[in-house]
Amino acid sequence: MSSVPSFQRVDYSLRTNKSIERKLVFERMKELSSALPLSKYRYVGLGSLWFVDFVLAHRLLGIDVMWSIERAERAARAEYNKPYECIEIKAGASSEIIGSVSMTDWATPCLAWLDYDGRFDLDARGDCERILRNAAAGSVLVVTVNANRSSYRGKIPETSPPAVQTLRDVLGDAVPTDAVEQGRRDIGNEQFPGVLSKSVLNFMAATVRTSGRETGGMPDRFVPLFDIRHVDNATMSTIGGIVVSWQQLALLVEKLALDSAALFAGGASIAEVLDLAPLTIKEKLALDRLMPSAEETFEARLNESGVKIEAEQAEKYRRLYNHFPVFAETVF
Amino acid sequence: MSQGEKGGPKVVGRAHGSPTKDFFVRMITRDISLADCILDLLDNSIDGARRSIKRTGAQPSSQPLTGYSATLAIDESKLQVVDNCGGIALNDAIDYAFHFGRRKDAPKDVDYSIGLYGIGMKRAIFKIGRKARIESKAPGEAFSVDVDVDTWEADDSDWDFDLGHMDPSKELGTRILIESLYPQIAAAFADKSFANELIRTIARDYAFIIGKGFSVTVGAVTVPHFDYSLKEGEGVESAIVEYAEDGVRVRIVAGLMNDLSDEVPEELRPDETDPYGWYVVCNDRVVLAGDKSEMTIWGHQNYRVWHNQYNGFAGFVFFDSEDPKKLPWTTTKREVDVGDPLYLRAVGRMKELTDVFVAYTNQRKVDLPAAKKLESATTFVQVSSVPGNARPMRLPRVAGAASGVDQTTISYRKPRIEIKEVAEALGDASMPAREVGKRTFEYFRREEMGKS
Repeated sequence: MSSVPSFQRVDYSLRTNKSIERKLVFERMKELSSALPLSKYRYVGLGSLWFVDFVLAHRLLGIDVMWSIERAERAARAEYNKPYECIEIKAGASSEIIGSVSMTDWATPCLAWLDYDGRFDLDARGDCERILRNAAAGSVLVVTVNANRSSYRGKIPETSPPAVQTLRDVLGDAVPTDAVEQGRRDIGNEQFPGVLSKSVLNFMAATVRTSGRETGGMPDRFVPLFDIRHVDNATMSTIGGIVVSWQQLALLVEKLALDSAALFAGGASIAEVLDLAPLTIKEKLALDRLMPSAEETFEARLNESGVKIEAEQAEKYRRLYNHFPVFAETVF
Repeated sequence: MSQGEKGGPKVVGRAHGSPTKDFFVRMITRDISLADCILDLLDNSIDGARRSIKRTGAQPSSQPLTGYSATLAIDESKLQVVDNCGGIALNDAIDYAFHFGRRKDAPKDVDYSIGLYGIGMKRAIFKIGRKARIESKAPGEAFSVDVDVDTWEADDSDWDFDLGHMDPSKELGTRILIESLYPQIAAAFADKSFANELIRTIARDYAFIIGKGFSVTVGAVTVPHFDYSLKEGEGVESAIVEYAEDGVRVRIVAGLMNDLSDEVPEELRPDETDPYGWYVVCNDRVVLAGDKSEMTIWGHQNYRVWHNQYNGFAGFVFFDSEDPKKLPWTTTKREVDVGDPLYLRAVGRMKELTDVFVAYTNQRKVDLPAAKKLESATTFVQVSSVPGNARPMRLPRVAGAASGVDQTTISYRKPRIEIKEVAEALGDASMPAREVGKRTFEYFRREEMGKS
């Protein structure tokens, strides 16, 4: 984890892929709000100074009980910058704050998005465990962590443990046994983000299973909802899901038109790799004039339009154009 | 051959499913240690005492078992348990006490009992010897049972035992005598170290029962009271979590363990670090003591494994229920049912409490002697009398822990371009030089020296 917090380096709202991801997550939640009383939830985030996710949670989902966890030394500035009165700044490390939530507060289901700057480490694991064990059924947990293999292993390959070892140290048996291809010493660079997501999702399901959580004598279960990767600078993975009682599971089955086995297996998970390059406004306007567009006819129309971007990027844009942000400089 | 009655596959025969006596005599006896079998017999005495208290309507008190006792005699030729705990009612003996497994129509036993499966006494007899005599004197009725295992085992069709007449007596209680010991059992009973170990085991596992006034004697030795206590004092408090669910009261108490009182004789004291760890207690009976394994939290689901650094920690989780079947123990009462949701929920709480202590042990490493001094400058309170039902753990504040150890600065000059290269390799080209220096130092310690 860099000691220069990412909020000092980047304005959160100016990252194309992060921005798309945020919209995908909140739109999925919005979709579920007919099955779950999300407006009565507590939003828990690491709001930084920008609170972009808080704005979406408030506007799109109607959530008006919100906690933003912020390091003590930055809490005052966060307090100044918070966009809504209903955001409560909780000063301290996430492990301290999450570790001291009362049973009364856990009784309110939460939508927690822990957007860490760094890798999935023991602290992140501890935070997730607490939430998955204690939060009321119906709670949603999303984590964003660094997914570059290099963040999970030392820089001298001969002497430092491989990334798979770092993962196993943190996630144990949740790391798939076939994570490392036969004959290789470590997880491949390309494969790493996928292995990381799988491992974290396995870990989340195992935590719920071994927590002894029950509703009406039936075990609560974990349903994966997010397996998104976004690449603005570093590769970041956003992984998460929902803890459901058997009654809530029935609602999801109906809402998402998938059977429970498919839900547990990640059938309802949004799986995207968001690595779109920024577009100029001219390009975006030209592309938008082609939308909506069917996949089959899109390539030809793209060529006609004269926009010079890679076909793969253009295809992603076709699918995600509704979420694609435009940034412009303004002078106040 | 006809079609199965409910349209199932054609029945081609009937597979025998009835039990054999051999299974009870030679197989299930393997699953339990000799000491735990003897504890099963003591459990019956304690349930008898609780029944007797209920029958006589004694006033509730903090030491309700006062006056009740069991005496064990073990030697090369026999095991004998004599108690004054009220005996077994004749009807209960006829219908239930000798039945293998608890019958469905069995009336509810005394509240908070610890005998629950209808297996303990018989399994103890089968494990230990070939002949047994049970004598019971309940109010107004008495009986005896002679068990000759060889004779009983010879006929697989008759599972019952004859109850012999005895004159009632005012001296209520039960006597169980087991003879014709198996050679290895006789050898164990003749071994003084076995007796000492047994006394220590009873002291450990019946600590909360003895604490309520029950007395156990083994030979000439009265089993000492292991008065488990936790430190309390200036800035030091054990944590308490208490809740109830589905007829089970769960109470967790954890903190810094205090030494056992000086009244426990040296030769019967546990080894120094044995008492540290987690205790699981069901209806006052200790099932796991000083546990440092996956059975509680250590190494469970990738939780940290026990480390000597945690010495001094003790946590007690009490499960109490009127219905012992709801408690997370197994038939041997030496293990917990680790898949029981009730138990798993408690494990989550136990982990959270342990986290607080672990963080403290990381701090106290900075100045262990000072920490020890602070730890010893406390008083203590017995685990069974820690007041309240919810409070966080408070532990000594070790001076210097917050500011860290003695520090100094390393400073050196390098070409800016090279520092930037290293910063990039560390994943952030904009990282300040100071941070690059710090990271590379930490990296060297971690990767080259294996230190954190």
